[in-house]
Amino acid sequence: MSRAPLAIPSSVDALQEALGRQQYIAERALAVSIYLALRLKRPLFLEGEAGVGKTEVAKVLAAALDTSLIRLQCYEGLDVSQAVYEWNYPRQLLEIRMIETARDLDRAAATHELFTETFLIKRPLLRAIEETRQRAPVLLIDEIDRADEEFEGYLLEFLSDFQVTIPELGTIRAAEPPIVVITSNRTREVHDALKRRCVYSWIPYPDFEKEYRIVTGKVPGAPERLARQVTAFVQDLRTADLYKAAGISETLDWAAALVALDRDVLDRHVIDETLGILLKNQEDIEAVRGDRVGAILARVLA
Amino acid sequence: MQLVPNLLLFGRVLRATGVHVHRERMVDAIQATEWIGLRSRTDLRATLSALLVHRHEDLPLFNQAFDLFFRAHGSSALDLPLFSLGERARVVMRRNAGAPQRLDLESESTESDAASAAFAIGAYSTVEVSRTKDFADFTTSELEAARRFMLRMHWQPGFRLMGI
Repeated sequence: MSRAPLAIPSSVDALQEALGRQQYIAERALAVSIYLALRLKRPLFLEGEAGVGKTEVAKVLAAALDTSLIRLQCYEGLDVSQAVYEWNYPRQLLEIRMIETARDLDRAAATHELFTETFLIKRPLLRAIEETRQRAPVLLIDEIDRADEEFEGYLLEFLSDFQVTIPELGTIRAAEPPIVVITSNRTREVHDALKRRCVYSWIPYPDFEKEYRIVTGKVPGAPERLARQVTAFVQDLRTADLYKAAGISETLDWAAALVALDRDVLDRHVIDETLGILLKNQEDIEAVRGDRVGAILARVLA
Repeated sequence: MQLVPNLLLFGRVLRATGVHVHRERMVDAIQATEWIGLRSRTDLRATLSALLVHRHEDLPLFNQAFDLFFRAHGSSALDLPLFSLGERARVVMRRNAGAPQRLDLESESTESDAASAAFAIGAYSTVEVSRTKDFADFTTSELEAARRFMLRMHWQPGFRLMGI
């Protein structure tokens, strides 16, 4: 069951259009980076504050290219058994019991039987390599800055030859490199050696016009005036010195909530009540609620 | 077509300002400009920054360098040195009438070749190499040597401001 090979958009314009069809508004610079990553067959490294739509890039890219998305969420302590493969130990034990009861245990044969694909748990990196036999998937390595530096070292090796060696089974190679998207929130500096291998793109918070287009695109029920006010309010709020600024998804959630509450304009009361959707940190909410909300609102309505 | 030499030169300007440009990405950039074309300044900027820069902190430096390097002909700012980029005086801009803009790194110009070669021979030692070599290019043994050297340093960062 082999599918048609991956078709890469023929130009930056074509790519931008394809992303647009997935409701993703990509700035020109980002579209150029994605296009280059696809053509050069290099990983795309996306950096930016949390909530600017980095993960979204991988998702819409997979949809636009009509291929699957394989996601590896990084976290502290992520190791090869969670990222690449692991032997299904309980199942192997069970199999040993069954062999034992059925017949006398032949050591050599049993070992051979126990280390076959049936007992292998394939994790995202291995799955990404295997799937290239049908059609290169988009491999999203999300929040690499959360993983340990040792894992970065492994990743560096993985990205240079796209193969995984399982001692008991042999080496599995990718038929073609998967499309790799790596994101980082910059909670720590990712090693240069890894970044230098990639096409790099910094994604800033969207400007007013772009965010407004995102809001009207994703929350179609929002009246124009509300969408403008919501966008302006969030844009202004981002300039405040907060522990965690509101991302695009918070803007969208807030707009959707206000629509659900049947609001068509912002007022101080409703903002105070719904501020928890926009800010996820209690201290931030305390700091902004009240007078500062009033001040921002006054600027928005001016 | 002067594009490739100019791109290579731009890579050197970036390196001179402290942006660590990877050689393979430079090759990618030359290939990429062929695909992207030169009609749009925005696209050229995006192409070069995506491939030659890989640190957010370097982006402002890149943008300044790009603006100065790829600017319209006849701009009055042409003869300004690149001091604003943190560049030292060894980078000299020359303007030859009608010829493409050239930016020579003095250490590499022909007249100083002999002198610099003699200097290199006279000054050779592994420690001296470490002085000019980028840390990122260090081999393991060189890093070890650097660590040993640092152990010998009598350095107390906490007391640096005591004299002021």
